[in-house]
Amino acid sequence: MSESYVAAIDQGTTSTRCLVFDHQGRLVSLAQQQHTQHFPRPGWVEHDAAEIWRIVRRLLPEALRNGGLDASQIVSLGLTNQRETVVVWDRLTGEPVTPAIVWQDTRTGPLLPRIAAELDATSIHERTGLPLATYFTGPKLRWLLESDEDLRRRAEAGELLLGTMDTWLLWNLTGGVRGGVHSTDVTNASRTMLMNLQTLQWDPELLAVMRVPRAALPEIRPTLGDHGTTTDPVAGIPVRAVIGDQQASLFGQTAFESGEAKCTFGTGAFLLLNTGTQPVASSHGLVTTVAHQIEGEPTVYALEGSVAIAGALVEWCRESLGLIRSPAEIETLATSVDDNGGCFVVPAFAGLYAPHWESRAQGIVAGLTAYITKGHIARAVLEAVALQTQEVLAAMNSDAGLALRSVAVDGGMTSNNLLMQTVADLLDVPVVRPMMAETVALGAAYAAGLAAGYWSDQQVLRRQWHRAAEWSPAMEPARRAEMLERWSRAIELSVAWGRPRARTTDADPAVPPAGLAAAHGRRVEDG
Amino acid sequence: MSGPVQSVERAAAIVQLLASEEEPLGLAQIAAALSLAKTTAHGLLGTLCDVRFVEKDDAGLYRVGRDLLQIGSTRLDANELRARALNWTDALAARTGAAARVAMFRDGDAVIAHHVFAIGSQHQLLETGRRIPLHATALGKVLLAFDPGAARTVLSGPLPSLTYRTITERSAILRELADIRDAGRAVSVEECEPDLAGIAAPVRDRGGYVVASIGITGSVDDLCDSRHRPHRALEDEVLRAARAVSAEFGHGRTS
Repeated sequence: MSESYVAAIDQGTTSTRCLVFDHQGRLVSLAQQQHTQHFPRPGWVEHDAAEIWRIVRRLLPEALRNGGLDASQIVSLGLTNQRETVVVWDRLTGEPVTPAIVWQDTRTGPLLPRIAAELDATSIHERTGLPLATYFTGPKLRWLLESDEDLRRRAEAGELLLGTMDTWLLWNLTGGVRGGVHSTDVTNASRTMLMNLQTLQWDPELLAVMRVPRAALPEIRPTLGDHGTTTDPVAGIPVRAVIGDQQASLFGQTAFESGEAKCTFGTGAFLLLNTGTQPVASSHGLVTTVAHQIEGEPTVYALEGSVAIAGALVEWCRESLGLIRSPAEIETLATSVDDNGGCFVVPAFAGLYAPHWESRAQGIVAGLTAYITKGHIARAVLEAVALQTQEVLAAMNSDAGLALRSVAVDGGMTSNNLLMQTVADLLDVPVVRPMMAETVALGAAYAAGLAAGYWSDQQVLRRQWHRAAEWSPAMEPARRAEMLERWSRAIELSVAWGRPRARTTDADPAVPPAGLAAAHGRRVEDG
Repeated sequence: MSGPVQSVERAAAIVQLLASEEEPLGLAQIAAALSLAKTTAHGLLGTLCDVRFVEKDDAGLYRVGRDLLQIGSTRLDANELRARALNWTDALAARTGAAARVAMFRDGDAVIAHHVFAIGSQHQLLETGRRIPLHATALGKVLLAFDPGAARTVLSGPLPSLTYRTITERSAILRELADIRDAGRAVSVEECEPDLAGIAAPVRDRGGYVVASIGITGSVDDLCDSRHRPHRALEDEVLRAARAVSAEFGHGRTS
């Protein structure tokens, strides 16, 4: 009898991977490919959902081929994805009708005050656990439906389907125009700003505020459960889990119990703390979100510290600045100097997320002197990732009323030893990496395997967690305090820089990029 | 004199020929392909080998030299190597339970580019950046066996004895390296430290050159049978990981 496996599709912000795991949770096969990032205007980030589906279609058979596996050996498939990104497509042709607006996109900034005027931010936060920010899906949908009259008419007439990336891929995997499943899971739905965190259903008032017709939205299902069976590109694989990427990595770290946390370093950095079966409201700028829901069991919630820009900053150094040829070289460049030389980089490319939630903040490089080399900038880039993580950890400790004694980390950036050491130094706790850095995919596979009975229970998965590496804090307290103090000043500058200018200079033609977004906001109002 | 120099033209033709061939070529093939007398081709190849533009393997076949391929390009970045090896080094450690490490040749030593802890034991420190002896470790011997430059560097001086099992004789290490090339993997048993064993295999780039080594280390009892031969299953896992990391560098890819 041939061995059986579970597979995961991990549709991330910059790349898509398909991984196959064995019964011990060990990687058996991997296929991955990047997709195109579109930056049509300052602050705008778009993906082509059709390109992403083409990539998924290619990767699933490729991963099977790489491992010498037959589809019949895959007992269950887990789907995990970049969250909040919105896709709108034609129910009949199956084609996307607009570019996918990516979670990092800040075009909805000027729209937020008008949303707040209809339903105040506090009320939105109480219902959804989310601060009113550009990050989430609801405002993006309202922007789309308001910017194009035809789109709104077609959505209301039932011609269009809406969804996050999971919904788009699940629909295509399970048949597309020929009966594809149009559903999402609670973790993804909890990021839309359309779902009530208590009822776990679409909230009629929020739908009204975001102008979203109920009929175009997917059904909300439990994370672990029956999500249909694939028909394309490989038929007959049961999809038993759909889960947002950060919740997936929490699951992959086997942080099943209240009080367990992890931090993933990917495009952004995301610290999640399992808070058990009750949603905990944050008073320090964290997001309350669903960790996972197993069919027939109580929902598990989490507190999340979301940092928009982590790996994306390194990628920017490569793609836009040409400082490095590959992401890994940032470490080589950064180790060419001993410290940051007084230079700090605040990567507020998507405004600032947790704990600040300053949608208008813009990135800055502070402390430039003739002494600064690209090595110092590379160092400041890595420190920016660690310093932002420190901020969300401090907020987490304040909210939870206790201090995390160590941090479990994962994601591609954990291959960066200097970054991991800097995180340990600035957080002042040991940083531990498990023996599977691709914890997002592993978590989706764990969820799918549990739901299919491939693994009997969560304890089995816990025993498969092994420590691969550990970094201990080694920074002098005085040095750490100085770093944190200078960082908070840099954050203030970044927020100040993004503030609209005084009225008298509004007509100045030399407005910074914020002016473009504002101009676009006016165009939306006119429409 | 200002016209073309015939011997330079011919040398260039030889390099072009070798660069266009997948497999190493013999003297007769090269002479025939370029319509040269064998003695002429032999002389040219000898000089090209001296300047390291061409390499001659143990079977007497010629291929383009590593040094020539690396002209104008920079050497492999250790951090790049770690990033590409990450997933498969994890899988190797998870499958064997032993500490898994990746090493590369740097300035006369084998340097640890990546390290994944062994399962279970508590006190482990990251060894990334540490230098280990080339002649007394499985990871190092792989690098020596497949990197003529590394072998030249190390074998030009005395080989320090670290344990009573360390291979210190030049003729013995040359035999050992030939065996490693034949087997496609290296084993060391107590050659560096008492009770410590290692198994390692080469990581190759797109062109087939060995850019690093990957392997496991552990106690002799864990890695070997009673006759100090490595367990076959562990060897297979090391070879599998080496193939997977090589594939990340484009080795063995058809497209």
